[in-house]
Amino acid sequence: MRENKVVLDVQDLRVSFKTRRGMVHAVNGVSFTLHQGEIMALVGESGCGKSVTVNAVMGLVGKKKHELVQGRVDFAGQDLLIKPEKEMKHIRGNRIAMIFQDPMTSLNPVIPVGKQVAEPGIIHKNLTPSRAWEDAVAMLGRVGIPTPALRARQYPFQFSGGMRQRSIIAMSLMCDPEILIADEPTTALDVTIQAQILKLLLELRGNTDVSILLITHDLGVVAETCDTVAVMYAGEIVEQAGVADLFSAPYHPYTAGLMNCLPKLGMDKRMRPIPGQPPVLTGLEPGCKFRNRCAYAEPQCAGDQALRRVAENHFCSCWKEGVMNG
Amino acid sequence: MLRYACKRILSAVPVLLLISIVVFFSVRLVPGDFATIVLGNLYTDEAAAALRQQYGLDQPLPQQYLIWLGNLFQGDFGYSYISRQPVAELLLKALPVTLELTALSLLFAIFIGIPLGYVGGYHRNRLPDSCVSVLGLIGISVPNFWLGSMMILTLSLTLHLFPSGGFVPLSSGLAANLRSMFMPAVALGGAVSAVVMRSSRSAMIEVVDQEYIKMARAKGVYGLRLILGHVVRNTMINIVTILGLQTGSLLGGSVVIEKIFSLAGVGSLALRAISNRDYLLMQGTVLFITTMFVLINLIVDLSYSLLNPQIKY
Amino acid sequence: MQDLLYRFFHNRLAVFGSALLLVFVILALFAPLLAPFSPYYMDTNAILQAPGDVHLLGTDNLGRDILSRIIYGSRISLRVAFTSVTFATICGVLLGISAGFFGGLIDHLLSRVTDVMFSFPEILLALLIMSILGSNINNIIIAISIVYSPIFARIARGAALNIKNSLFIEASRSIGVPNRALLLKHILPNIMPPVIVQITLSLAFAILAEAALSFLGIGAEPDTPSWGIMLSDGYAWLELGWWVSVFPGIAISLAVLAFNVLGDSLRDLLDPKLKNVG
Repeated sequence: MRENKVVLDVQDLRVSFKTRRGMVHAVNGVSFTLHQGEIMALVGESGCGKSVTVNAVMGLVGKKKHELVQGRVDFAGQDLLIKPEKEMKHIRGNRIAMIFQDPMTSLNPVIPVGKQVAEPGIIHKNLTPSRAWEDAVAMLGRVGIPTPALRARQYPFQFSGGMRQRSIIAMSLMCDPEILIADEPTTALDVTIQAQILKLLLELRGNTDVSILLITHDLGVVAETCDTVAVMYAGEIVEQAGVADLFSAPYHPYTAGLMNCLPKLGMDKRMRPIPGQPPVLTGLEPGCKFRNRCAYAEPQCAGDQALRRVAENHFCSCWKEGVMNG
Repeated sequence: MLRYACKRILSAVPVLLLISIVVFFSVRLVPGDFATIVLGNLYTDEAAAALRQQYGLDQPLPQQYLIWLGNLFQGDFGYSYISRQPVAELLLKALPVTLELTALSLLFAIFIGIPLGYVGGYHRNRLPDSCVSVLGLIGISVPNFWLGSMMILTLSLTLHLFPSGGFVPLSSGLAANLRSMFMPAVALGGAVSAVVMRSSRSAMIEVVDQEYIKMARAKGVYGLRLILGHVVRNTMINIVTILGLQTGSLLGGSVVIEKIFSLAGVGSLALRAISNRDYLLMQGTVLFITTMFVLINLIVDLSYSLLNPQIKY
Repeated sequence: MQDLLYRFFHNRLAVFGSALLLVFVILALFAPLLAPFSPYYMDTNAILQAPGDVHLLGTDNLGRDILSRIIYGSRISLRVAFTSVTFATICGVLLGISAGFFGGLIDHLLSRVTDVMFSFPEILLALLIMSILGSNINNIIIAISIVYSPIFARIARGAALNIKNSLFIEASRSIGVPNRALLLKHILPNIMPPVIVQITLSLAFAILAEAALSFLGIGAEPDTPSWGIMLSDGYAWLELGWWVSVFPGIAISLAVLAFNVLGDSLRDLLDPKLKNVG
């Protein structure tokens, strides 16, 4: 992190959906800050609310009748959640960019890749199509695509998965955004390609100082790439810390449980999965949402659990504060 | 691409050949002796035999077929027994009417059906969509010839806005021509529009849900640019397919509309030929219509490679 | 299955379509009880009478009550539609499954035949067949059956091919499940959804086809209270008696609408992947 300048400040974000089966509380009071040049991970199992959180920040969720969003998302001194759609359009792809999980389906199959990469330049920076094309070709080169001028004229089906994801990253960086949100960018890729993409992200952060919000369920990715981590469970952040601190001494039983699920070289025989299932997101009760699966649960866990500071730059919502660290 | 086009055209040939065989033999299956119809009261056995010999109908069927086929390739479609004119000439005279009717109906379908379908699909499950869905359902349920009758009743007989029938050729003036074609084109084009509308609606719904559209939105693409630049191109294959199929339905279904509006097109020519057991005219018109349909579907097939870059034969 | 029935009765479109269809079925079944007059009775004192107290929907040029003819007409339309589509479905599906499942020569032959049949516009093909067979109700049924068999064959063939190549069939085969069991237990149930949807669509088209053919004079005999013939009569007397055309036309539109609405709702319920209506 070059400076401590805050680029994104999410305060008590809550997202609920009205469905036939009742209100689904996908995000329940998430707060975090993202600094310039910081790579922050949002980690959690499927369904913990990480995608919904970033979609709400981008304004891609919350505009429909059955979607309810509350809280405040500070970006450049303004609250994104109350911004009207016509202003949000100019922020998306321009100042905050987002890339999605599946590179195979994120590109329009009937439009040449170069044109798709060039598009943000045309829309947001008012470039002429030919100028935008040149920039796009240059950007494709920067993300490591060989013979970019030739490739830019090709269609997505002629690209491999890794190359497509690189193109999508190129597309997202065309307007030099302040924040890049990557929603599981490597989940659909092979491990070797995964490593390349992560390396690319680190390089880009080094060159442009872009802040990256990385959504993933893979702790390995987190360890390799990120500066800070926020662990989410059932729509809440249960622990937040710098990567080194989190891995060496997790304070929340859930985090510890996640790490125990990772096979390690030289470990003893059995892996210990976390027993039980994540809670259903309708009809959530107050208190710690993890207590039904926690080995250390006590009656006090039913009370309100807020994130509290447990060490320098390390927050945890479990009042037992690292009971498993002994 | 050229290679595929040739391959595709060549594969259409056996189909056309089979069609010609089916047309020829099914026409001969139609009961009713043409000699009786042509000679009427003057029927005698000798006259009938002489007539048959004159038109080569006394030869064995397969031979008649080959002669007919051979003549076809020389542009000779044979003679209409009833009207004593070359079939080719009768077809040529009827062609402009059918072509114009088909073209106008298609235009109607394209410029009204497709956009309405898009609007419905884009605003799925909201008011515009309900209107479009209802309109589409009604459009495919109302018989087009009844719609034609109703239009004649209101616009022609009651309000005197349009002529109730008869074709005014272009040579007599564009305005008069369009006035005479307006109601038939709307009656015929209405049902086709409804089918196309429903099809473009479902294509829009399907495409709008795709990941790459979500991606486009996330990079700030919106409004007309999103629809025209990103969505439409992906719906084209489905829509072009439906248009191709509907053209066939236009070619055949025009029969009834032509009757109602007294238009002398290929459809009514075919109908007349069938009623009169005018063999060669029947063969000529039916073969013509089916060949047109096969060609149209061929063109639709070939257009796929233009619409979807992955299809590079 | 129970879930399907539950969803069916909670789908507004499905309920509307079924209710409308039910109206026509009742009209057809109980025609003699519901119709105020015989459809053939000619009241010479009431020629081309406008809708009124005695003849609710008016009379035609021969003094026949329009309402009664419409009610009896539903018999003809429904009979033609259901019979012809049943034949078309059975023939088409059998041929299609055989072609898809056994492949080879059967498949090749069937594909050529359906290609040729698809090249004919429907009305034209029906016209041709009717001119060979002759004009009466039963021949209309045969003609429509022939015209609509290819589409069922194509659907069945496509579905059979898909299933045939799927892994679970390979698995079943490898443990020795005989062909017949495969066909009955696996392939047939998987073909059902698109076939059912097509059935409703073809029923709708069959009614329109019968009306068109009768209108052209190539369908039912002139005296029959078929909706198509009524429209043809009405066309001749358009200026003097609008009701002779308007009411039968509305009847046809509603009956066809019922099948189309049912078809749409079934498509939603049976196969979400087909995604037509919202």
